[in-house]
Amino acid sequence: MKFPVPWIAQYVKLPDDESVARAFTLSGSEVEGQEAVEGETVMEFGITVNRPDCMNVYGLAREASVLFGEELLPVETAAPSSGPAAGELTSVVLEAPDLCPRYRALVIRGVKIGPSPAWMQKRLVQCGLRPINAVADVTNYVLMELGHPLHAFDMDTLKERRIVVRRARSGEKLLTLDGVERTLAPEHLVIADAARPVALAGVMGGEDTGVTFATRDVLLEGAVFDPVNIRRTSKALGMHTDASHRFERGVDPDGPVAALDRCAKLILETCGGALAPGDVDVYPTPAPSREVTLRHARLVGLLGLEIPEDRCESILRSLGFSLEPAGAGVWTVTVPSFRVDVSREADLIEEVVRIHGLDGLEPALPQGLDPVGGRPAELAFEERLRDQLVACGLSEAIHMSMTDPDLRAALGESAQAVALANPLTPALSALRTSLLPPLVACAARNRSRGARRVALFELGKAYLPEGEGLPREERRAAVLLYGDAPGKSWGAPQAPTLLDLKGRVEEALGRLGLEPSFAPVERKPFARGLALEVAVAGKTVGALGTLAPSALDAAGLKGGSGHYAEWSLEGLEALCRVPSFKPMSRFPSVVRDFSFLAEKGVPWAAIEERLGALPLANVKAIHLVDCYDGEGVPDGKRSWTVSMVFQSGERTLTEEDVAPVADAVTGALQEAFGAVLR
Amino acid sequence: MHRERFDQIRADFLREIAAAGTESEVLDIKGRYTGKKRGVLQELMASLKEVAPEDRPAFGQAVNALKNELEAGVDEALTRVREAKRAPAGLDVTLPGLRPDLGHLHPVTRVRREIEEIFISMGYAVATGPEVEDAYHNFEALNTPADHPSRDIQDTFYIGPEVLLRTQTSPVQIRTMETRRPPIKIIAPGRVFRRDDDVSHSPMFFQVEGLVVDRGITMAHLKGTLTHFYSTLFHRDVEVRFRPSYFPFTEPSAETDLTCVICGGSGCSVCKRTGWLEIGGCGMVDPSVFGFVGIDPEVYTGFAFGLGIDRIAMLKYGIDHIRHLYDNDVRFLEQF
Repeated sequence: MKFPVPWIAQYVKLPDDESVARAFTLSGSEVEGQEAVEGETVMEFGITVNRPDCMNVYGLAREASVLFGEELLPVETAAPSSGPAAGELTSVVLEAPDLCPRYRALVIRGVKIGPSPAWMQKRLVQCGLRPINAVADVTNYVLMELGHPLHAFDMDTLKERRIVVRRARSGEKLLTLDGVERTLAPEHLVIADAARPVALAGVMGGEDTGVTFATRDVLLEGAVFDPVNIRRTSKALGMHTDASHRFERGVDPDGPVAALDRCAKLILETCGGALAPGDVDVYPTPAPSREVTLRHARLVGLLGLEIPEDRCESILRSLGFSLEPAGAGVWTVTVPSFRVDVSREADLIEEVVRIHGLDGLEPALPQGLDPVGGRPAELAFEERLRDQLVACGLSEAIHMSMTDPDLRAALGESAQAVALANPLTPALSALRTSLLPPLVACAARNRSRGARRVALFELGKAYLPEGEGLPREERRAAVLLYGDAPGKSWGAPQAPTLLDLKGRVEEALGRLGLEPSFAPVERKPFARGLALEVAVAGKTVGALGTLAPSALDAAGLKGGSGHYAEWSLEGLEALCRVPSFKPMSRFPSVVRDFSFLAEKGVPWAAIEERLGALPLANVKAIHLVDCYDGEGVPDGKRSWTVSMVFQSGERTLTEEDVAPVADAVTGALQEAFGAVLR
Repeated sequence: MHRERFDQIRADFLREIAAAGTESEVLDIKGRYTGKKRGVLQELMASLKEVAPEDRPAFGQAVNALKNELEAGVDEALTRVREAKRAPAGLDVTLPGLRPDLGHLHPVTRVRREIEEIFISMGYAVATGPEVEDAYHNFEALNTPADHPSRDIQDTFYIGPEVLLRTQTSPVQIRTMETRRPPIKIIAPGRVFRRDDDVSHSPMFFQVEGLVVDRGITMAHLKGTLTHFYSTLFHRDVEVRFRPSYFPFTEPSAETDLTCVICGGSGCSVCKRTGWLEIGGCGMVDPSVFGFVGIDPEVYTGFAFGLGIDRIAMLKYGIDHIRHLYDNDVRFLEQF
């Protein structure tokens, strides 16, 4: 909100601009910027929502008077009146006192309306407002000066020259000052005349009853409206105005008095006319005065800062609070009507500290017994997994939780997703049900920027709709290998394969004490025959595979191959096994290689399983050394080399120990796979 | 006259041994010079009888000395040829090293871990909560009622009327206090969402929330905690300034300003010449928040604070646009 500094200085003596800006900023009303408008300094104030009393010149002057210890000058409101009393010229009926606790009206007759004086126009322009005519400008001027929204009606346009404050009738129409015809409903509060709505209460006046250059008699409105109703109305109709902004934050219930009187005085000065004596002030249930107890010991105990009692008293008094002692170090504090934000002891403590400043706070650390800290097991597991995945050559990506529903569909993700009601863009309108869409989109972006190899992982949540309540949020890990080129160091391996991916998953999980197992599976988004289910401790946790060409196309990935793994992290931390030491044998090991040809269709899993079923005495380990079906291998065959390590913990093994096992292996391979030893 | 003969043998040996490139060549030379049969030194010793009797002791000593010298030469040559055999020849040592293909942690993760570890060292537990929240935990229990303008401070993504993407990590405060009694000392890092997108705002970003509740907790403790935290994080003594502000769930509330970690407070472009960085919000837990979770504000007091992990990562690494953080360009990720 913009206010010119010289206007504030009309009510309180101010030091230089820099000191003013600094003092306001350090007391809670941040000066966010300043500029010269019409040769004077205009400051932009960031006023927090709890301080509607500061959203005007006089409120800021009041703050300044406290901050600089200067006198706050009064607002001039006295104006001469003549002729019949206001109560004889109009009447106000309050049909909805719950939504309008107070409605005060003044009447000025015989005005001559022209443009407002130059000094007033300058102030309005400095505040970012557009001058209209003298009466409208005065109401805006008083709004900026005192913060209370006012409205002026052309009295001749009001049917029966009277006001009814009521809920709108269903379907009632009102052409508002912005030229839009509004259709109203009973939840909207309107100011009406004897026949029809003439203003949307607290938000905007009506076009037909507004003041024009032809207006002769003016009815001035100063009212208090229910903040919630104003907020709902302004939101529902998309009408955020200077008036609604203030009413929805709460206004001073006594505001209609000073502001309306000030307004009348300025209209008489600028437009002439005669102010009718008295007013029509319908205020059936005056707001009770608010009393709050403040304990000095509580203030000191909450802040950890010793602010003397007399200092607390003088700060609160200067802010307009009145204090009565209520025991040693205790006051009963009466809150001024304009401080709608103060109702509790904590609010008073904030007032004191806001003015006193927090610079005196001596940094200290909480004393006493610390609760046990640290990361819970599942988060500690995630951190360790991140480190392992980095060690496996993968870089960490972090993507938005929101993703593109079209991309999900193109990737064949058919599970229902949580949809945002008010997304920023359609491309970020659904919550991801897997980490795949953002990761493949990321690979495509990198690819388009010239990256030839993308090796990423991400840890994050999938959001899975579950009935009416909050979705289930499942913690997941995903790995994407994509590319057609060597790694980042020269001489590094070639384009990644599915086995590179599988090996990384095995290694990363293995190092955390998990033993993943894999079983072939057919599923989207993977190519046929190139996908595996991943299980830990017998429970399926996810899948990995080579992305099907259709999935690559969906992501806009052209050329190269992509391999993707995703698994759930839920509960994995509890399955991690701590390494268990096994003594190393003192005796030498014997290594025996078996090279053989088998039918091409025989998978490694079958060979491994057949070998595992043999009674392999003293066999410490079985390794696959080579698997090859290129040049030099007969058609339809595949060449295998398997290495077996023999070792005993009790003695040195001899040929007599190894030979029978080797024979059994050879026999089994021949018998099971027609293997021919090479 | 003998001296010339000795010198000749030494010179021949040295020439031959220097030329030897393999172990067998060296051993061959060794045999020819120091061998027991028909070695050069053996023949030399055999000529002792031709030496005048009074010169014989000196001659014998000279032969022994030469023998030691040749044997040392042989040992040296053997070491040389054996090492040469085991070391690969002709490696261009100026080639770039073969670097293992390791990955990189995301800068947000790096900073988040640093933050967590500082607080863990101060006894804080790390707590989490759902990212899709209900309005009760995200707003109402944080003293932000429906139809109140304070809801406008944060532009919210809604799923339904009462379900939303959390706009702050503060609901974790409520969820923690619902299930635990003081003393409470937690930080809650995590994703938050706001309907905002520009140079310094992303619709999703990361915050850390802190909450301490116990008897006798003061605002001075809040300042001490943040001063220690930021000084540790930025590896320099920083001063924390509290500037009164408004948050619905704290009272008193303050913006946390930090002496600029770029210029040390003398004024630079990062701190807009003010010497201060606005880095987060904080305050004393509002008594009405305690009311929602059934903690007696007359017995317990508490402080809460929030800060942006993204903002700190951008400051720490000099990242100029928040967009880089969630775009995941590999050229970006590989810098960390």
